[in-house]
Amino acid sequence: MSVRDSWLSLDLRSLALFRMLLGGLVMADLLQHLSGVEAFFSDQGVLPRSLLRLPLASQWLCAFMGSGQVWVQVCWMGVALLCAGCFLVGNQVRLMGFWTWFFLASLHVRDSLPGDRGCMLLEIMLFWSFFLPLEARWSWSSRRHPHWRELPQRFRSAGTVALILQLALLYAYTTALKNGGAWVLRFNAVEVALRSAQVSTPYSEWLATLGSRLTPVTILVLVFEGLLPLLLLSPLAHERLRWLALLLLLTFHLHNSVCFHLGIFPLSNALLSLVLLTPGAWETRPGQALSRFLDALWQGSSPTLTTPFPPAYRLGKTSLAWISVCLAYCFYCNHMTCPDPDQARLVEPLRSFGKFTRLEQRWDLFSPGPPNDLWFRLLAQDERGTEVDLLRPDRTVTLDRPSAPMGTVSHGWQMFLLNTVYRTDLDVLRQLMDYWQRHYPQYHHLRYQVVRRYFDPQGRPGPPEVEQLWPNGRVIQLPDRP
Amino acid sequence: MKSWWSLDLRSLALFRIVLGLLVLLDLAIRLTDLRAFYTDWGACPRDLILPLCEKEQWSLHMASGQAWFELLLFALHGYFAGCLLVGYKTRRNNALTWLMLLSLHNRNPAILDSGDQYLRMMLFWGLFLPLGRRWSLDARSQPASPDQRWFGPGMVGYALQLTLVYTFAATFHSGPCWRQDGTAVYLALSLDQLATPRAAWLLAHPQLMQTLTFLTLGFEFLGPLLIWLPAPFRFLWCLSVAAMHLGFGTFLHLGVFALTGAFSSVGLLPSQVWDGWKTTSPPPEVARSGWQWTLVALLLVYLWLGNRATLRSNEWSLGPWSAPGYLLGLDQYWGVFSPSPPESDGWIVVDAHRFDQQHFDLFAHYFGEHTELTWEKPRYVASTYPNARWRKFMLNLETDGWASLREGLARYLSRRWNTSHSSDELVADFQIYYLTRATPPQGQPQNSPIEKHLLWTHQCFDVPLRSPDDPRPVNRPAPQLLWHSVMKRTDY
Repeated sequence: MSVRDSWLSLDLRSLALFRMLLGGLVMADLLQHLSGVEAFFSDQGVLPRSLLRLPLASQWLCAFMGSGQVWVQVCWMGVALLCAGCFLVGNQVRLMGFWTWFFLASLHVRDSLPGDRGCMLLEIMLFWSFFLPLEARWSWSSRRHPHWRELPQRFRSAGTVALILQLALLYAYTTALKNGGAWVLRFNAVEVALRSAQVSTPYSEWLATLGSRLTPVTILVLVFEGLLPLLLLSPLAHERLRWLALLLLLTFHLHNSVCFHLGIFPLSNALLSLVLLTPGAWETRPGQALSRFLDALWQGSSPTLTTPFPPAYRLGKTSLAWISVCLAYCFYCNHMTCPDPDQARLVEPLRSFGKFTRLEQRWDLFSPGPPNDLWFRLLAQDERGTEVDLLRPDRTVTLDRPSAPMGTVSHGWQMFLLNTVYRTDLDVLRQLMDYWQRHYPQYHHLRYQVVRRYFDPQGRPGPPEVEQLWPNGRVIQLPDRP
Repeated sequence: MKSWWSLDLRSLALFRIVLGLLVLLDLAIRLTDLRAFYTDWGACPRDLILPLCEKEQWSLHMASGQAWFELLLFALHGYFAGCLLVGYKTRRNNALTWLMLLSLHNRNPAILDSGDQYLRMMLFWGLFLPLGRRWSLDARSQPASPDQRWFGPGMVGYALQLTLVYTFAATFHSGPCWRQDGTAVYLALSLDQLATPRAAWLLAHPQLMQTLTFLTLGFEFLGPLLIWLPAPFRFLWCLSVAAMHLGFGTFLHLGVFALTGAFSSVGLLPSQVWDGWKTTSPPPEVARSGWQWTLVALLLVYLWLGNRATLRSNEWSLGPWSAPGYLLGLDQYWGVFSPSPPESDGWIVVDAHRFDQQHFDLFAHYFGEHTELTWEKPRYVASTYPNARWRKFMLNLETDGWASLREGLARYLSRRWNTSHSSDELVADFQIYYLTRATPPQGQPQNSPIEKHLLWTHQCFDVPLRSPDDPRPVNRPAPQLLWHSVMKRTDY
C-alpha cells in the first residue's frame, strides 16, 4: 500500500478498540463524578446553581441545571451511563455518542471545578468520534451487518485526519506552554513536579529523592512531547514512527498515572492513544490474540442487512466543511493560549463557538512550570476547645508537610480545593465553608488555610507559608468580561 | 349518584379544547417577553431566580439561558398544546403540556398569578379524564361508543379541585371589607394598576359594589355546592362562575386568570345542554380502576391538607410533605385579595440620567405612553405595563420576598438601553422608585399624598456622570459598561 493511501489513516479495529476504551473511560469519569454528586452537583453542595457563572452556563444546554436535587442529578447520570454503555457496546454509536457527549459536557458545565484536563480530553475525543466509523468492527451494529467484516481494515477520512491532528495539537502546545524557568533554564521541572504536594504520591516522592539526576528526564520529556506531533504526522516511515509514538505515549502516560494524582487524564491519554495501532500491530501475536478475543466476544449473527456501510464511511460536503471549521478553530484556540493561557482572549463569535462545540482547549499541564508545593488545612475547634485539622486523617495541627496530602481526598475534591486558590470568588468560598460546617456540626470556628512551600532555584524547599483563605481571606479579583 | 352525577364526554371534549386554547394564549402572551423573563439577558436571570425557588422545583427551562433554547421549548410546548387541542394522542399530550407548563412556571415564579396555578391544576386533573373521546383525532381512529356520559375518579378530583379553589378563597376573604362593610370591590377597583377604564363606571355605583362584594363572597362559599347537585344546578354553576370571572376580567386586568376561571368549569356541563332538557340519558359508563380511585383519593387528601396549611401560613407549608407538591406543581394558594384588597395603589418610576444631563423615565419609555419624567400619577396606571406578566412582576418587586430581583430589572434596563444607544444618549445611572398613594375610604375624595419609595439605585458605567460645567478636558478613556450591567459574573 502506498504512503498516499496509508498516511493519516486508522485501522477499523483500532477505531473499535478506541470506541470501547472511550466509552469505558467516560463511564469511569461519570462514576467518579457520581461519588461527589451531592457535594458538587446539587444545590446542597459547594456550588449551588445560583452561584454558577452564567455566561458559561448560558452557552450550553445543561441538563443538570434543571434541578438542584441529588436524586434528579443521579437520574441524569444514570441516563448518561446508559448512553455511554450503549456507545461502548456499539449500539447506535453515532446517536449514543452524541448523547454521551451532551451529558458529559452538561456535567462539566454544571460544575467545572472538580474537573480536570481529562474531562476536556474526553469531551473532545467524543466530539471527533462523531465523524469516525467506530462501529465497523466489534460492535452491536456490526453483528447485524456481517459483510462489514469484509471491508478494508485501513480507513482514512477527514475524521481520521482531524483526530490525529487533534492529538498532535495537544502535544505541540503542551510543549510550547512549558516555557517556565524550571523547564527551559534550570531543567529541574520533573524533580519539582514530583515533590509538589498538589499531585504527589508516595512513589513520586521517592523518585524526587533522586534530585539532580532527574535533569535528563526533564529534557527527555520536553523532547518527547515536542517530537510527538512530528512522529504522528510524518508521511515518511509513518507506520514505524507511529509505532514508536504509541510506545512512547503508553510508557509516558502509564508511568504518569502511577506517579501523580492526575485523575483519569494520564490513563485516558494512554488508552486512547491505542487508536494509533497500525494494521501491522494487529498482525503481531498480541494483536491477533486481542483480535481473536474481541471476535469471539462479538460473534453472532443476525441476518438483517439494511445499509451496506457504516454511515460515517461517507462524509458529505457539509461534514467536511464542518470538520474544517472545527479544526481551524482548534488551531486558533491553541494558538491564542501561547505563550500565556491566562492572557488568552478569544474574539467573538469564535469564543462562543468553542464553548458551544466544547472544543475550547488549553493544554497547560505542568506549565509554565510545575505546580507549587501546597496543601490545605481546615482548622476548627471541637466541643472541648481543642484545635484540630479536619483535613488530616489524625486531626493533628501542624505545619509539617503531610506525605502525599492530596491522597487523602478524592480527585474531585483535590481539584476543587486547588480551584479555591486560583479560580473561585468569595461566594464559592463562603458556600464551601457552609458545606463543611454542615458536615462537621460538632466543630466550630472553622478556618481554611493554604500552606505553600516554595523551592529555590536549586530545588531546595523553603519554609512553609500560611495564607488564610477563610475567614477574612483575600478577595480574589476575577477579570472583567472581555 | 352515578345516574345523575356524571360527566358528558362532549363537555369533556370542550374542556380539552378550552385547555388547549388557554395554554396557547398564555404562551403567545409570554412569547412577547421571552427575552425579558426567560433568558439570562433579561430581568430574571437564572442566578437570581434560583435562590427564590424551592429545592424540589425543577425546570427544563433552567437548562440554558439563551433565547433560542427558550424559543425551542416554547415551540415544543405549543406543539403539545396544539395536539391537546385537536385531541391527538390526548392523554400523552395532556401530560406533556402539563409538564412543560410546570417547567415554565418554575423558570420564573416572579410573574405567576392565581390563574397560572388554576390552569396547571386543570391540566393535571385532565390526566384522569377521558378528554379525547369526542371531537378529537383520537376519536376518529377508534370505534364510536354509544356512551355519552362518564363517571370515574378523575371526575371527583376535578370537581373537588374546583370546590377547593372557591371555598378556600372565601375562607381567605376574612377582612372587614369582605364581611362587614362590603367595600372589597371598591378597594379592588381603586387599584389603578389593575383597573380597566370600565372600572370608573362601577366606582360611581357604591351600592352596586357593596352588593357585588357580598354576592362574590356568598358565591365563593356556597357556589361549589352546586357542583355536587343534579344537572340543572351544575349548569347554573357553570354559568355563574363564568359570569363572575368574566366580570372580574371586565373591570380588572387579570391576564389569563379571568378566562381560565370562566371556562375551566365547562367540563361540568351536563348532557342536557347537548341533548335538550327533556331527553332521558342512559346510565353512564363507569371507569373501573381501583388504583386510580386510590391515587385520586390520596391526592385529594393531600391537596386538602395543603390548602388547609395555607390558611395558617399563607404559603404551601406541609413540612417535609411539601416536597411532592412542589415537585408535581400541586402547590396552591387561593388567597387573592385576602384578607382584603390592598388599600394603597402604586406605580413605578425609573429616574434615568443620561450623559447629556437629560432625565427621563426609562421604564415609561419602554412600556408607558410617555418618556418625560413625572412624579404625577399616570392617567391610566394599568396602561404603563405591557401586559399582566409585567404588572405582576413590578408589583412583586415592591415586596421584600422578591427584592433580589430589583437588581435583575436594573441590569436588564441598563443593558437594553445602553446596548442600543450611543454617546450622549447613554444612561449613566438611574433610580427605581415605587410611588404609592393610599386609597381614600369609599365616598371620600382623593387627597392622600404620593409617597416615594426608592427600590434600587443603579450605576451603569465605571465612571460617574460628568457635569457640563466641568472645565477639565476629557482625556480619559471612554466609559465602559460595568460588567454586572452586561452579565453578573465573568466566565470561568
